Order: sequence, then structure tokens, then C-alpha cells
Amino acid sequence: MKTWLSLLGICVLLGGLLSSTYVLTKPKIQANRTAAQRAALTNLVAPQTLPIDLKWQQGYLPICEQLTLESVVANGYGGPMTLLMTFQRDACASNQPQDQSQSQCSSPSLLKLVVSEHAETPGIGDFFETTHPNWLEQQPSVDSVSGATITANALRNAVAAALNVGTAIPFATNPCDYP
Amino acid sequence: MTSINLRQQAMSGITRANPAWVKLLGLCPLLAVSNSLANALGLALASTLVLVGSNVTVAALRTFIPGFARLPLFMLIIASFTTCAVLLLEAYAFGLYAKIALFVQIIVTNCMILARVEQFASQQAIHWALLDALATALGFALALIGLGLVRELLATGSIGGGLASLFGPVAASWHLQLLPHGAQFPIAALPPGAFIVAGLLLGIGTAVQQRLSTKHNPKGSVDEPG
Repeated sequence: MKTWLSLLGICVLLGGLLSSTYVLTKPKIQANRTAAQRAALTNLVAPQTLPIDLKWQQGYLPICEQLTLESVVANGYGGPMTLLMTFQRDACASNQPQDQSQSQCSSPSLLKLVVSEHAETPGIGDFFETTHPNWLEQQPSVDSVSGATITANALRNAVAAALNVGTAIPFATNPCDYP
Repeated sequence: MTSINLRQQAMSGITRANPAWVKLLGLCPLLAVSNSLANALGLALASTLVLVGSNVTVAALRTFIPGFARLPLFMLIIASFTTCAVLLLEAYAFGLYAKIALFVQIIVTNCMILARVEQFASQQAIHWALLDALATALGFALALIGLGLVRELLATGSIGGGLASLFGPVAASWHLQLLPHGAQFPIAALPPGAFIVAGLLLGIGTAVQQRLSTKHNPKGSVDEPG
């Protein structure tokens, strides 16, 4: 009986330690996560257009005429990569009823792309942040990055897939009503 | 055991029984995280917290821990402190957390900690357990920081990059470029480089130790490691 009581006591003690640390660090962790997400997004869109509340809807965030998408590519060389992309959408649909928008607007075009998480080989596969930071602008003349073909192909496929998703997402009824 | 013996045993974690270089424990996080000084320091701090926390807790509770359930209880204690370390790191060093979180989480499986708890803390008073934890943590930190310094220097030609993610914006100026641009060996930051550099450092350490012990003891008998 004494044994079980001491076991129970130790578990309660550790549970208390865990829950108090959790409660104490929770607000700070929440703030850190939001700040990190905002920091990632300010690479993509002008900070003043960023809504105060980031209301992600199944991987995308409509910001005025722009659309920010979060996409996970499963086939990077070192594992999945998380991408943040901004697309310029044709403004024609913003004042139109939704049923007409699909047919009248051209497909969105890629404005910016940021790789927010990846496990690609440092120095070789992470060209998108180190050796060729503006690889996206060079894209028309660069087929793939030598030594990192898998990474480059994965990024290209992800953009293509995101474009399809972006075309399918209808405009919000009034996309610019953020403060 | 006399207290001098106990002190020697506790302090041996820094050099003679260094968990990483002599006993070769905890090599997975050691090799994975030591690609820069900042990462190495982060893991060293987290390991210190877990080691000290679990060693002291086990020593304090040693009379209440029933022998048949001691291993699950030790794991429970270590896991609790690891979770706390992860939460604290995420709250106070988010940039570093994003880089090394996985390896902080697997501190729980680091046999170095279970070994100290089982061999030492479960049988000794709190202050000896604390000393032992600090010495072991310092030994592990020295191994991590040594490897981190060498690998970062070889791979980027500089040391101290990214320290700002641990110490805040003040540390941004602690980044020292030591080698000229173009004199880098990126392989040192990659997993194969970890093994090569660790092997070389281990070899140098063993050679120094052998030379020292032959000097002390001319017949040439070498201390059995760990």
C-alpha cells in the first residue's frame, strides 16, 4: 500500500511540474508562434496589408487581391518542405458574383515564394536561401539547380499544384475588407 | 564511501568519465546538433536542465522509489524534465527551438542521463547528485561545444553565427569571421563531416590521454575508459 501511495505521489508531483511549466510558458509560446508566422508572411506581402488576425482557411489566406498559400511538398530530397507562396489574382472577380468569376478570370500568377521549413542538404539543396536567394527571378533561364535537381523539381511541382488550388479558390465576397 | 571518493566519482564526469568522449554516450544528438556553436550551446543547456532536474529529483525521492518500478519511474522523471526543457526552449529561444527541437525531445532517450540516475543519483544524497549532474552536464557541454566550434569553423569559416537566437539581439555581433571567404569545407556541417570531425577529435583526445598517463606512470598502463 505504501509503495502504491509513493508511486501515486511521484506521478502527481511530476504532473504538477509539467502542468505548471505548460501554463507558465503557454502565452509566450503562443506569441512566439504568431510572431514567427507573421515574420514569414512579411517576406511575402506588404506588412500593412497583413490582417491582424491571421485567419488561415485550409492552407490559404486571402489578402486583398493576393492569395497566400501554404503548401507541403512531400518529395524534397531531405523530406517534406513547407512553402509559403503569394499569388496575384486577377481583380476582375472582386466585384462580380461568384458564379461568373471562375470563367472570366485568368489563372493567378506567382508573386513570391518562401521555403519556411525544409531538410535539404546544407550548401547544396538549400540554394533557395543561401547561394541563389533570387532563384525565382532567374527561373526562366534556369531549368534546375545543378546538384539539387530533386529540390528544384519539387519546388516547381509544388508551385504548379498550388496554382491549380489557387485557381479553384473563389474570391471572398469582399476580399479587401481587412483593416 | 568517503566523501572524497564521492566527490572524485561525481567530478569524473568532466574529464576521466566524460559521457561523450570517454563513454561515447549520447552520440546521436551530439553528432546531429553540433554543426554550429549556437546549436551546440542550446542542446548543452537543455541537457543540463534535464540532467540536473532528474538527478536531483531521483536523489530526493530515492527512499520512496520502489526497486521493482525504478526504471519506469526514472524514465517518467526524465521525460517530464525533457518536456519542460522543450517548453522553456520554445518560450525563450524560439529561433533555436525551430532548429534543434527534435534533438531536445530525444534527450529523453539519452542513455547518459539514465546511466547517471541509475548508477549515482538513486543511491546518493541530493548535493552529491547535483554535483554529479553538473559535472556530467559540463563534460557533455564541453564535448558538444568543442565539436560545434570546429565544425562551424570548418564549414562556414566563422564561429558564433546564430547566437542571437539563444541570447537575443545583443549576440548578433558575436559572430566572428575567422577564415577568408572561399576557405570553407561545407562537408563539416553535414552528417559525414560530424563523424569525421568527431573521430579526429576523439583520436586527438585519446592520444593526449595516453601520453599523459604514460608520463604519470612510466610502466605504460593505460586507464581503462569508463
